[in-house]
Amino acid sequence: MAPALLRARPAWAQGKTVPVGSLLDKTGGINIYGLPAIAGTEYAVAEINAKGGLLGKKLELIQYDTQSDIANFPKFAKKLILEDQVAVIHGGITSASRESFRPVIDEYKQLYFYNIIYEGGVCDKYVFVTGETPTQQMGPLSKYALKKYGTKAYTVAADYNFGHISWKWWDIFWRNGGGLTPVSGAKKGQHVGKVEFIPLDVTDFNATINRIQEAKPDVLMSFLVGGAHINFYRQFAAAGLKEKIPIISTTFGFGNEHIVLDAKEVEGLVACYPYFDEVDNAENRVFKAGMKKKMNNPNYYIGDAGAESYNGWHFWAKAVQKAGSFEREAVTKALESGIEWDSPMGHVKMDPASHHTIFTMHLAAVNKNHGWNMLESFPNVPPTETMQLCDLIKNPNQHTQYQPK
Amino acid sequence: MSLDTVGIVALEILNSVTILVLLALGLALIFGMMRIVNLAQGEFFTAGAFTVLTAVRYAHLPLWAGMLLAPFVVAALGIAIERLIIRRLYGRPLDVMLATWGVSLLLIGLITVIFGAVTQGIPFALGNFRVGRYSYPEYRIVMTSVAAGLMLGVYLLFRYTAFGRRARATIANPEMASAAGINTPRMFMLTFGLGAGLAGAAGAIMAPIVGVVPTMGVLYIARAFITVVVGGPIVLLGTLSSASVLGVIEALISRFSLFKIGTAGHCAPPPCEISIGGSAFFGQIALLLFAIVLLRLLPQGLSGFWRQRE
Amino acid sequence: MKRLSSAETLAALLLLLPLLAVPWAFKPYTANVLAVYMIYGILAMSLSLIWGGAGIMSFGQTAFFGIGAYAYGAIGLNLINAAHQTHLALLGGLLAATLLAAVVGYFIFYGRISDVYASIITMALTLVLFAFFVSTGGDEWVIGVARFGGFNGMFGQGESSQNIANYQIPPVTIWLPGMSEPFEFKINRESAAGYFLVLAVSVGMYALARWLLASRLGRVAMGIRENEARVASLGYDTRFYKFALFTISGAIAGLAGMLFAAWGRFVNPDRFGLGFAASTVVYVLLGGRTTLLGGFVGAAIIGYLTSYLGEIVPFSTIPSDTAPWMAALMEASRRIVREAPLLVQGAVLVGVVLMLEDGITPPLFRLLKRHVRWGWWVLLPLVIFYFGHRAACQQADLCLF
Repeated sequence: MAPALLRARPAWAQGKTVPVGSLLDKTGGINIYGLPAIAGTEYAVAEINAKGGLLGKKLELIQYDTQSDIANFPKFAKKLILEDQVAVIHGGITSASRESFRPVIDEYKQLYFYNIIYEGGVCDKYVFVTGETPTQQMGPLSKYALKKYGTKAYTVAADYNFGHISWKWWDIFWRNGGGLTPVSGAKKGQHVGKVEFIPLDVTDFNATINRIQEAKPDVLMSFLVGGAHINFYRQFAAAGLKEKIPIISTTFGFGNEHIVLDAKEVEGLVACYPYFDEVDNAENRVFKAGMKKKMNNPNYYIGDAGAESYNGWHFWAKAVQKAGSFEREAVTKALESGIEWDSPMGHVKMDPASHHTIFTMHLAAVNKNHGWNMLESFPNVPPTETMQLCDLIKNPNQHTQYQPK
Repeated sequence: MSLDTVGIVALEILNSVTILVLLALGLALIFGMMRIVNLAQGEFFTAGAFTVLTAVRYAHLPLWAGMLLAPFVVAALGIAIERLIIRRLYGRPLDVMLATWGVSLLLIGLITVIFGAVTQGIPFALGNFRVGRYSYPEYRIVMTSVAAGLMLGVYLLFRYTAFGRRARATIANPEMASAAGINTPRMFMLTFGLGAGLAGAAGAIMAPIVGVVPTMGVLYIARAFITVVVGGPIVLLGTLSSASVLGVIEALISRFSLFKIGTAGHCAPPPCEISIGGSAFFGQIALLLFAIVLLRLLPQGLSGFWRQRE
Repeated sequence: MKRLSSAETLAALLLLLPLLAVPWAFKPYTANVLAVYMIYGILAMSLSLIWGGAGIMSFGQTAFFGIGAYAYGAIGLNLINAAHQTHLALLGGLLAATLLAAVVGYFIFYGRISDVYASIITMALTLVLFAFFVSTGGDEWVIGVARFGGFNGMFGQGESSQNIANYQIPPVTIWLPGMSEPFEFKINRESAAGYFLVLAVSVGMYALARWLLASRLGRVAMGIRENEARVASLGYDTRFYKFALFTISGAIAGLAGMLFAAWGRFVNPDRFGLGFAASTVVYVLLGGRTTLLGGFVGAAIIGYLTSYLGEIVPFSTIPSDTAPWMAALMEASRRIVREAPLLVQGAVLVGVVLMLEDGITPPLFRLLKRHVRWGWWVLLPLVIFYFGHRAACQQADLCLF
């Protein structure tokens, strides 16, 4: 019954180039995140090739446009694995897209990098994550907000897994005064009103804004996501609340909201990411100049998504060089030795046990010119929530995702 | 419930009704007068919003000028589509539906090619007023006034002008109207253009609060259709009555929890229980379910029901 | 519809021949993709059955598809854990889709809701289900070990609810008495069993639909399509015939959904979305709404086209020394290709409705009918030669074409 179809050795073991794959949404609703990530990907691969490639071979980047359609991810993942026989796959944007083809990754034992902010908890031997997770953003944010604004918080969140799981972590951080376990001496936060989960396609926030006014919080936490939710900030400002209730967010700015919205609508909003274009270091200056040249646009804003894709490729490249091989086991072993380097974001390190990245996190506030004013930096912030649940060295045979109790 | 909460809930209901009226008016006109299901109506709405964006951002016109321009630009677009496509399909209702769906996809694609897929904003400067503890944006009151103005305009147009008389004659009996010397193809074209223009006006007036993105029409089209279907065959009466009923349902369900259901005990308080109602999600679900059940009871919609009783 | 059915079945047989050879002649990815085209084809055929058969345009076939997929997933995840097979999941998925179709069909046809309203109600149904399944991300949405997972889609959870994505929807798995171990219908480097399962179901469903249309049910339905009042005046309860055909077509859509969940080992609310509903209509319209094979052909053409468009990246970098007008032209063409999937679907809808009402397959079938004998003698050796060569060269890793 079963035809034997397998070529004995993958293509990259023979050719002069090494095929590598990327699955990102170039079109459709998600491409506000996809296009920056594609730019970062193309730039990173071109940069690696310009320096002579890896192990004497040039990278051949194979990109498929997943068109913001979840069904395309498993399909193109299979194509990359079975037909193109790539050495590594990078990509996936929404959690839903990642979960749609993680089964394919696991079935074919394919090395995979997920390079974007998400809700945390993925624990999979074949998966490496170079995006930030809730702890890394919420630790700094909650400490800052408790100190500066007060203890009463109201939360609005996108109504899908990202929002729900983010809320669970946020609940823990806020009550504990900024940590996963109670922080001694810190002010403890409390939630007023209820958390509101808002479907991704809702554009009218009238009732929500009125409920926030009833609850009179000291600070508003936003886990809103996507194009429709951008309107929340505008309507919030139009109701005259921007001056009364400060907003903090783990998602704002990630879809370039600070560029789309008018400064008078969101100035002063505080967010926390490993990368802002405003981060000042030597690597970032080179990176920014190169990206602006590549995009042919002197005002190009790279953003977190672009920088993380860039970092993902370089993490992989460094591991390949260290391993001296493109084989998954060898590269995984190299990554699990704890690769660290100075990236445009600052110093980053791969945590061996959880396959997640340890970042320098930056707090920043939206300024008048559609940019960010840097407030504070926090070096070596670990993805604690995932690290405490996931040890792939001790228990390598895991292919799952965890969430808080 | 304190007095100011009563006031704010009343404003929320007014807002829901306003939005439904804005979304449904043009669609109801086309559906009621021409018996055409126009699935591209959402993109006429989008086109109105993008007209404002272009006028403000690229032509540097004042906001009100862009908003005045939008209905005319979109009406012209509608007329072009009627001439090129829909004209050939009269008498084939299902094919019109499919063709307009195609037009809808094409328009989304074209708008994206031109403007990109990023959400863009149109800032507006209007203040807010206080209702007890609450402050409420004035712009929403402007929207309500515009919606009322559009309805009144459509009423006057059809009741008192020569165009209105001819249009009504054409709708009542095309052959007879044609025999009486009315240029019926022209009437259909103008009616379709008017319906498109109304959608354009709605898109323009809503653009500042909802943000402008090529796929914005898709977010509204289902609600617009439900309003029209529930409204039934009489355009203005149907739209107003169904928008009122559905708006009240949507606003109240979005606002208040109906009842709570317990959940497994591993999530942290306070939002441990799930309450049915009290969120935009349940507002939309209630809207859809109500419409399905109502249509089972009154297949002709609200206005059809009233007409039968008379 | 009737006149061409013999030519259509002939065409189906002609297509079947190379499809049987695919796993030997191509890489596993080809079998994978053809399987999903066939799954979409079954879904599209279920729409042709009710649309071409009784003149009822259902936007909601995807609702039954999605329900079938979710029910298979929920039962399958639990069964594979407990019993290492999915027998009951197949039954459950089919039952769930049939039941939903029956309830909706009852509402529409016994409520005497007119055609256009019926289309809108089926569309509303699929949107309600989309909104519902998207909001099932919380811990409480779980059946046994099957987490609904909201927008992220369905997964099997581990020993605690903390472990939310421990394993995936199983492929179709049988374990009958006398078998030493369970047999999984998968498509990968080692096995093409999943491909043949999908192919067999496609053939079976085509035969079923063909038989239905030739039966009394189908003949009355076609009468209803032409003139419902006349059929009713002959004493037929037209409501019942429409209801029955609608329910059966919903069941077939559900079956396709189950195959989809087993194929991708994944299902999420996107299957209820407007985009998927639109694609299904486009498949049928392009292929030909009055034929049964049309849906398969449409699904394959559109599927291939959008895939291909997703792969090409024109002018990924525009050199900075390009002349401004040239750069603008390159940028424009790049953007158009970027949006091409949408533009293609839109153009197909408008174009087919305006110019090619019956879609592309009926003219082909007519041609085939006229030249049946000629067709067999020329096409058959060509097909055999081509696939023979593919199969041989795959082994030697040396293909001429």
